[in-house]
Amino acid sequence: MNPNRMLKAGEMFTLLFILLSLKATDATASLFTQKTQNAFWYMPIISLLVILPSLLLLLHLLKKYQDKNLIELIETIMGSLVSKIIGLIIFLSSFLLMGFSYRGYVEQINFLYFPETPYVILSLIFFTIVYFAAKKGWEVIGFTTKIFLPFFVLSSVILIILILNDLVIERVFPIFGSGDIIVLREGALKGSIFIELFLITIAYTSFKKTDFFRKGFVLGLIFSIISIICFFFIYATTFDYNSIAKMSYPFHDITQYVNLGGYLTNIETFFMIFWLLGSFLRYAIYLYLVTWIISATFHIEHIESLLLPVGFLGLIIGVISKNLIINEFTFYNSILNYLTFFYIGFPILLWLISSLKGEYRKK
Amino acid sequence: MSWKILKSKKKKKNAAPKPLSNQKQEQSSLFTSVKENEKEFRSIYSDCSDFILRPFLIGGKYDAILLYIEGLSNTDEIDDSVLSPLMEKNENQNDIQIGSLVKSQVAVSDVKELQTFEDCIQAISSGNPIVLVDKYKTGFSLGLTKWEKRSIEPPEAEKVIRGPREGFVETLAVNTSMIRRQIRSPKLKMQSMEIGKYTKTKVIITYIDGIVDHTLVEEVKNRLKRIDIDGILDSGVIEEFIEDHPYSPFPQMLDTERPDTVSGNLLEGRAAILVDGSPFALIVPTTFYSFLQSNEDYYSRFLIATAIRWLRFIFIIISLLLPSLYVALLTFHQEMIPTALLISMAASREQVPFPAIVEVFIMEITFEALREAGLRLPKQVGSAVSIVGALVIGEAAVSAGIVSAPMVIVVAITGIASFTVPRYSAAIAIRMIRFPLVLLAGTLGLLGVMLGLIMIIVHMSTLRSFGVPYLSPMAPMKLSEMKDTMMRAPWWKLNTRPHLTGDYNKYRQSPEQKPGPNKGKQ
Repeated sequence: MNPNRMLKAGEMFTLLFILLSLKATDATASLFTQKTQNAFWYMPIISLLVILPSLLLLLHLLKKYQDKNLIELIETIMGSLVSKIIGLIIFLSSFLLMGFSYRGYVEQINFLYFPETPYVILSLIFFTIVYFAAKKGWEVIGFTTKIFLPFFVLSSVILIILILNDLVIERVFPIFGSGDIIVLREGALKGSIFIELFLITIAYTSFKKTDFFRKGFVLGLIFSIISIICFFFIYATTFDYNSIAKMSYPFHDITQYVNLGGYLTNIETFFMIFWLLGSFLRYAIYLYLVTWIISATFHIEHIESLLLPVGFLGLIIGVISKNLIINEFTFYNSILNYLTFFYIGFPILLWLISSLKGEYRKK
Repeated sequence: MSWKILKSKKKKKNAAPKPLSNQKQEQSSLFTSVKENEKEFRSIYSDCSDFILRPFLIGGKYDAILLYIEGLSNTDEIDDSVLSPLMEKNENQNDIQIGSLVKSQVAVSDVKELQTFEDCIQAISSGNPIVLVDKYKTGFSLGLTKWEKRSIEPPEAEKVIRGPREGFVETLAVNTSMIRRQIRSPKLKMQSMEIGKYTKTKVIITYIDGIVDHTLVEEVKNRLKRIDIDGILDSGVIEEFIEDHPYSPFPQMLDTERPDTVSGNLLEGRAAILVDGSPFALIVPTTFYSFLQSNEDYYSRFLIATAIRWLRFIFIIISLLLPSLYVALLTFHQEMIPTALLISMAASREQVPFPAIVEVFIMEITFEALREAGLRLPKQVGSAVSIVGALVIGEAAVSAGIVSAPMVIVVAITGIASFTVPRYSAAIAIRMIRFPLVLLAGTLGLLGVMLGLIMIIVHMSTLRSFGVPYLSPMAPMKLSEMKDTMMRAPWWKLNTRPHLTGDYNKYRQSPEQKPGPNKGKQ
């Protein structure tokens, strides 16, 4: 119980919502469609089901050992050395994912809206604002997200209403896309797209009451899943099964597709504004969480001083790949596939060791 | 290593002088002999032609002097209530205590006894005449101040259609009396202190005991006590010394000229700071939404007030974003403008040799210059010049091809929008932030505008005013207080006070007071 903290369930909900539901707007959709074609719209559910037991185990453990965040929990259960190794693995994995998905987002802005600008300049500008927002601290990020979320949701709702006319529900069939085994395997392998759910447990103690964390967590998860499925469904029914695999940025394609009556035909910039706001905030949250993990692992008190090195190095990682295809479909894809096993495994390991140690009884 | 020594040497040279309060002030007591007192006072007040020292005899026997400053004291009352009764010869008088003699003879309500020179000087400077008697170590300060002051007029900067029209004046006693007339409870406390080495300005912290949180009052007092300065001339000086975030463009204290604003905020649990010599009172703590509320909202009916509040929110966004959106759309995102409108705008911009961002800067700077100049123009010339400015500059500039007609419209709408904000300090902050946003829009398009917007909101989220987050009740969300921010709920629904800091007195009126024709007798 932290009476000095000001964050409540509402802020947790908005933080998780922005972290997760913006996945519907980037190249994750095209990543899914590569193997499964038009069955990708229910794949997030399969991925969530695969990762859900471990997630629930982790939450159960956090509730048992009150007032400990993720890294402190691992340290208590597993001891100092092993917790440092696990913490380092969590940090490296999320750091790499952050770097690669950063490339995806900036590449979208570059390709669609500012084609003449060099990639590096645009990524530096993006990074400046992300760093500035993250530097102010966790509470400020929570408040800012709270203020911007209604606008983002409103623009998504307007977009959905406008595209409803162009949906063709029959395009959902064949339900199993390129084959049921393939769909199940791909869905299971991509469980780690929900890695942010694990990352955000580092903020377990930063809310006014840990109840607020859990309430906001559950609500945020439900609403993000609904929003992701909704958007994926719209992509599947707007773009048919062959062309969807060729599409890099389905969200932006949809915004270019809609029009507001006969007069306002090009309104994609309007949706771009809110998408930009959402992605700035998403990266601010992501950067803060990743830095928090490394600071907690090595007991560094002042998180804000590590933001610049971690963020800048993440930016550099984005520059590695030659183009978006290699970035998304090779690097990002393989990291996601390997990480699923780690993130399914480590909460089970924690729980086993914890029950063996008999530390279930509160001290 | 040598540059470190150099740096520390430089630091010593530029070191600030020691704070004034460190210099010890001796308290020297008055002399028993009135002649020595007279000599001392004449030397202290040498070259002060408005200092009057009048020797006289009490009852024809005892030497005494009267000291006052011309213009600050009520000379008629001095003659009638002090000199006449004291100078009256009384044969039956023995050598009784002079103190009780003076006190019983003098027909003044406020008489204080002073022992030291410093107290006497302070009393004389505040306008209280001093009577010193021979062979008596105590001086008497008489509360007979009177000076010319401005009469109570409607405040210039905060005009309302419906509501009281009194505004504060420069005299502290008149201001406190105006607040007392509205809040007549003895729970309205007024603690005074003096700030300023030379001006010794009287500052009053006022609050309602039982509603306000005492930690807030303590914090205000501590911050005011820390101020160490030569003189305070206006509450704006105090504001800069006690605010939480000195580098932020946003004001963190509400400054107002109206007593009903002060009373309303005191009833909600805030504290007010009144400064002698300034008609502006400071109210702490405030949130950003206080600057968007006007007194009229509370005196009009709730539907009208809600509609006008929404209008203000829309216009504040327009005043911040319209020029930058115009520049961003025209320079980077022309595809977003509908084709017919784009063609007509392109046609009107054909003659203009400047890019959109330069046009905007020319027009905005001209507008700001006109507004600033308009403040200082005498009334007769003022209205003529503003019309001339609008017509000539707008019309002539367009026909000369320096700016385009849509630009003039954008600047005019932005200007009008910025005047819908009720508080000048917030309006001017938003106007100033507009310029970097235009620059960002011109260089980075909508990405720049969003960048600037996020920076502004992140900055505002970090601000606190005496512990209250600046953007409360939006973030952190307090649903019960939203009914006075986003809209104005009817008076019979505003049952709770806003939670500011610490513990608070929640209920301000009994619930279920909704009026109706069938309510009848209770």
